[in-house]
Order: sequence, then C-alpha cells, then structure tokens
Amino acid sequence: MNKLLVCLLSFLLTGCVAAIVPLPVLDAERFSIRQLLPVDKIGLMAISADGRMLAWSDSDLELFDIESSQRHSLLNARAETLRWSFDGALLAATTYMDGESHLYVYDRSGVAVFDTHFAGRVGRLQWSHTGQLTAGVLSARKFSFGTHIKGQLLSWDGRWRMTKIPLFETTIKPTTAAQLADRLYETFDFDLSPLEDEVLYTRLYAPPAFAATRYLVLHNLQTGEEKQIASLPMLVGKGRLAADGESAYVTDGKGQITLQDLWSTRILQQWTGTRFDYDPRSEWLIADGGLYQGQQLQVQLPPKSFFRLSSGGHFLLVSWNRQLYLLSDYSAGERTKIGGVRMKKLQKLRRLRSRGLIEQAEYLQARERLLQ
Amino acid sequence: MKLIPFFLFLLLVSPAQASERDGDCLVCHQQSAAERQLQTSAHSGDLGCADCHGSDHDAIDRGDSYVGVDVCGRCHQQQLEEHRKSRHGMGLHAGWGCTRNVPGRDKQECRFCHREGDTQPISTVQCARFIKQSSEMGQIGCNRCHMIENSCAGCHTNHRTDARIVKDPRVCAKCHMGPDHPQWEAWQTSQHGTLYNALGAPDAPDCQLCHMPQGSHDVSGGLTAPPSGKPYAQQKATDQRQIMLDRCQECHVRGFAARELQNADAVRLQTLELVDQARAIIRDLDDRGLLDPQPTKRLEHPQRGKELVLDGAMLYEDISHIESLFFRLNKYAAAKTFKGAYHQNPDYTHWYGNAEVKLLLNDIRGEASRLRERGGQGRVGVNGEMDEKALEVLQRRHQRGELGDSEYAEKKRLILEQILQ
Repeated sequence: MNKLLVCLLSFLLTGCVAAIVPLPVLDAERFSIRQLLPVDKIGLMAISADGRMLAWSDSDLELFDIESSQRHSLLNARAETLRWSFDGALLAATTYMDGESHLYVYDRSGVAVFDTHFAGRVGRLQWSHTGQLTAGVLSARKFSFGTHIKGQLLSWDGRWRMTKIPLFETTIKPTTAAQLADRLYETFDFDLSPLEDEVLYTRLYAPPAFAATRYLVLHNLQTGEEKQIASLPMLVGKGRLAADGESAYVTDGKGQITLQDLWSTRILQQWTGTRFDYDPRSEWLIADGGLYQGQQLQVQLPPKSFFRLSSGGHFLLVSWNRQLYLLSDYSAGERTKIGGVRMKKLQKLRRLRSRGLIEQAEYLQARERLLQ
Repeated sequence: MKLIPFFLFLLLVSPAQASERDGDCLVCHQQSAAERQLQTSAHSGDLGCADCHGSDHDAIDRGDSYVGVDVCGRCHQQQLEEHRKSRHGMGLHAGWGCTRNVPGRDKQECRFCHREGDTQPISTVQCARFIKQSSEMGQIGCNRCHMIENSCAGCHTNHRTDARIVKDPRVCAKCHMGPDHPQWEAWQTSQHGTLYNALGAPDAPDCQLCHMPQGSHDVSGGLTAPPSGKPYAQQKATDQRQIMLDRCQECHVRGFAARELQNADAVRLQTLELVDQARAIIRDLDDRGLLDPQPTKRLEHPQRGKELVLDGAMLYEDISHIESLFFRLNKYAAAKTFKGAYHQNPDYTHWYGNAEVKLLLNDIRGEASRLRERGGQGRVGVNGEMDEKALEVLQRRHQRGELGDSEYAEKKRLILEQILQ
C-alpha cells in the first residue's frame, strides 16, 4: 500500500449528489475522476462510449444523462444484460421470464427502436464495431434422461433482420443439470472477434459416463471449423478476444488472467485477478480493481470496488463505498481500423487457416505482408 | 416283417456297394438325376450319398450339409491345397482379400476393410458390388462363379465329376467371359483358339494346358499380376514368369515367348497409366466438390461410406455419370486390353480394349470440362474463391501422397501470393 496515494480529486457534482467522497487511487493526477451519484446497491450498469449516458438496472431499467441529470425509466423489469454500442448511440438490454428472453434496443433519448423475443436465456450481449448486435442464447429442454441444451448466437443487423447462428447442441446428464439448476445458462459465454469472423465461446459437455467439462472453443463463423482452446470450470472462467483477433484473455476464475496466442497457446502476458475488462485496442486491462497499461499497473482501485469500462474503453465506471465514479483521460487511443479490401483478405486468410488449408506460419507471414 | 420290402428293394438296385450304403437314400432318391450321375461317375462304387452329404437328413434338408471343398479334400488333399493357394481359393473374397501377408503390399489397403484400430473386417463379404445386390441377384449373378472358393462342383459338377468335363475349356467360360474379363473370347478368337477349334486337345493350347498343367489346381500359377493388373512384387513376378515360360516352351522358343509376354506387360502398364489419368481427373472433381452427385450426397458405399471409391471396390450403381464412364474404362476396356494382350488376341487388345480406353478417357475429359464449367471452375485457381478451392485440391493431393512436402508448400505459396495481390 506504500505506493497507494490517497488523493482528493477534482470532480463535478451532479444535481443529485451532495457529498464529496474521494476515490483513493494510485497516481491520480494522471486521470480525471468524476464523482457521479450515490448508489444504494450495485446492480447492472453500463456507460456509453462518450461517458455521458449511464444505464443501470436493478428492479427496473433506467437511463441517466450525466450532463443534464435527466432520468428516463425505460422498462419496468429487471434487465439481465446491458450493452452500449461502440458509437454510444444505442443501448441494448435483455430480460428473461418463463423460458423466454426479450431484447430491447433504445436510442439515447430512451426511445425503443427495436424489440423482439425468443426462446432461451441471454448470457451476454455484444455490439460489433459495424453496429451489429449479437446475443448469446442458451435454450434448454429437460427430459428424463438428461437436459438438451442448445447454444446459439442471435444477430441483429441494426435494422430489422435477426439471424441465428447455431454453435452447439448437446444433452447433459441429469445430475449436472440439477447441480447447475438456474445457472445453467451461465455456462454459455461468447465473444465476437473484432474482425467479426470468429467467435470464442464456452460449451458444456456432460454426457452420461463422462465427467462434466466446459470447453473454451474458437469457432470460425464462415467455415464452422472449431478449435478447442482450454477447459474451464463450470460457472467461472471466460475468454475474450484481444484487438488483434489472434490472442485472447483467458481466465479460469482461480486468480490468473492470461493473454494467450490462440494458435500456439503461448502465454503472452499474465495478470492476477478473476474479473477483468479491457479496451478495444487491448492496451488497457482492468483486473480485480487494477487498471493496467500492458502489464504496468496504472490505477489501483480500492478493495470492494466494482468496475465497468465503457464500450470504447475511454471511461471507467467505478462503484465504491456506495458512490459511483467515472474515471477518464487515461490515454485510451482509438482502435486501428483495417480497410474493407484488406479486411476481406485478412478474413479469407483466417478462413483458410481455420480449415487447415494453410499453416499458422504461412498465415502469419501473409498477415504481416497484408498489414504492412 | 417290415424289413422285407426294404431288402427286396436293395436287391433290385446296383451296384451292390453303393446300394448297401445308400439304401436309406435310395428309397426316395433312386430315380434322381443326382443318383444317375453318381453311378456313372468316377466315384461310382466308391462313394455313397452319406460319404459326402452325411447321414443327418434334417441337416441336409436345412442345407447344413453342403458339400464344400473340405469334403472333397478329405481324399483330394493335394488338389485342395493347390486350389486354396490359387485365385480360385479366394473366389468369395474377390475385390479385396486380406493382403496382410502379401509381399510389398500397400499398408493403406487395410482401411478398405478395417476401421482404424479394429482387427475385425467391416463386412465378412468383401465385395461391395455383391453387398448392393438383391439376394437373388447375388446368388445367380455373383455366387455362381465366386462360390468356387468353396465348391469343387463349380467346375466338376455336382455328381458326375467326369474328367472330360473339366478338361474341356468351355468349363472355364461360364465365368471367364463377358465385358469385365473376356479371357474365353480372347483365347477362342486368338490363334491359340483357332488351333484348338481345328485340332482339339492335346495338339492345341487351351485354358487347362497353360493355366492348369498336369492337372494342377493352382490356376494362378504363372500369372504376374492380380486381376487389377497392378504388378506383383518383383521377385514374385519374376518367379511366376519363369513358370509360365516353362509352359510356353513346350511349343515355342523361350525367347519368343518371353518377348510376347513382355510386350503384353508393356501394354498392361501403358493401359494402367491411362486408367490412372482418368482416376486422377475424377478425384480432382471430387476434391472440388463438382461430381454430380458428390459421394457425400448419394447413397453411401456399403463399405466406405461417403468416400469416393475408384478402386476394386468401386460400384456401378449410385455413382455419377463420369464415374460410370470410368467404371467402363477400368473394369471393361482396360481389362480387355491387357487380357487380350496376354491371350495374343489383336482385336481384343486394340479395338475392344485400347481404343475403348482412349475413347472413354476422351469422354471423361469432356465430362470433366463440362462439370468444371457448370461449377464455375472453368479457369481453376485464377482468382476469387477459386484459390481456396485450389488449396483444398492441393491439400487432398498432398494427403494422398501425390505432392511432396516442398512442392505442396511452393504451390501454396503461389496461391497465397495471388490472394495478397
């Protein structure tokens, strides 16, 4: 703790906040830390890419404009997932009841621009950089001999079309289904590649006479080819694809977060922690309250704080000591964009690699030349 | 008192020995053709019904006391041994017999009959074409010839077993004729056959003279290649050739005979090259997914599933048109070419054989072009998605061992260059 500086920070008070409670962080003068408002209970939260619109859900779903202090009640139901689009223009949320999920998309003024419903439960929502929304949905059907589960992605094109992408179907033995009970849907997690051609997801495998296992699998959406990356515990552990789409942050939920090369399984970097988030450039990573640039610790949040990065990675929403803070100006740059033709060629190379038509070494050589 | 009619009956039949042993059988079968034939056979007086068929009438009725080669082998041991080591001894395994002990065998062959890691064959019947037939067709169209593995009667007939029958070359014609292996026709219309027709045995060569000298039952003696035409291992081929030349030498100068057979060898290998060309064209189409229908979208091959089969286990049904052409080329025309050549028949070698092989190869090339055009792959590997298809094709060729590692890597590099441009 000798490196931990307790600072009083410049902050702006919102209309509803009266008390000043400092957020104790390391090297605080390098960042802007803004105290937003008091919170009684930690619920589901998401901050827009520009750091202005805050959405949260506890018993209902609300939208809060930090600058104008305007509040909009969006839904009289508890949202299970919340996600702002990368440009901060749209907010997606899902609710679940009686085996069916509802998906809602709102604009910044709180107007619903799209809604639909479908069977199954959504474990995660993700926006692509091109404005496509993807939901990971697990549906389950119970039989006497086991529970049949189906994991699929539902993609909304930003206008009116929904597309289903089935990822797996399996029957799990009754004992495993009973142990997981209502948390069964948590076994399915996914992350779409920044190149939008691959998805890293978790699938449960628990047939009779086999030990239940949860695999982390890389799936190419164009070819359907899959590659097993790791085995994870039942309910903890996840994988998130890094900005290059070639490596992934993987945690087994036991205190280690690693950045792994997906094709050589080489460990590139390593952090301590179980919960993590990172910016779209993979420059910043926050793990159990430590905000790292690369492997260098830049900000250490106080114990028992909860955090969430904005979709663009420029803002860090922190909840601590019943107060909500917004941390910014920590130099999160813009994501490197790959142009249309090069992107298509890169996707093609990845497709060829997924099918085993070219070796990893050949792929890397070609990729390097393409991105020069 | 009940025995009196029976004894009276026995007194009426002759010869005495057979009557004594076959009394029970003859009560009902006295007038049968089988009995009449047996009485005029070489076995007359020596063998009774029960000697071969056993005495359990219920078992006979059920068909459980079939007189197979083992029954005859009790007395004709040498002939049975010769039979078993010959191709006739593998008659029921035609297509693919287990090649485990064959010198120089290709280990890849194991998977034709075995799943990886499993010593049990996929099917006890090893001919896919047989498996596809109705039981009636299998019985008449397949087993009447292939039963020879376990049936001396296939040549000797059931009860007469007269040497005159099996010394007549027409006994071979029952099976060794037709579009797939016209040995009978090729021989009969060759100079050897003409001599035989004019002079008869033993002044002219017939099937038995060259393939069963001195009554040997090893009908494969002197052959240097199996029915597929692919040569035996060098030593075996050399040894077998000497055996055949010894036979030829009875009528011909050895050098002349050797040259004739060498020419036939050359024709066989040239023909196989053409077969391989045709096979490669079809494999390439399969690699590109252009067969119509693809093996994955048709009834499964009974032994190999959704795999493209162009070898000895190839079917002539539930295949694409271009495969039909290949079947005719390989199974009919190529076989006619080299079997014609070994039987010194010019027309079978050339017009029924060689010309047909080349015409069918033309047809296959034309059909392949049509399929490529239809599949949008008229100019393969040029650009667009074609380079991905080209990589697929290269990979399959590499996996089949047609491309070495360095050649494969170089060809891939060129395609990647195209993608990056």
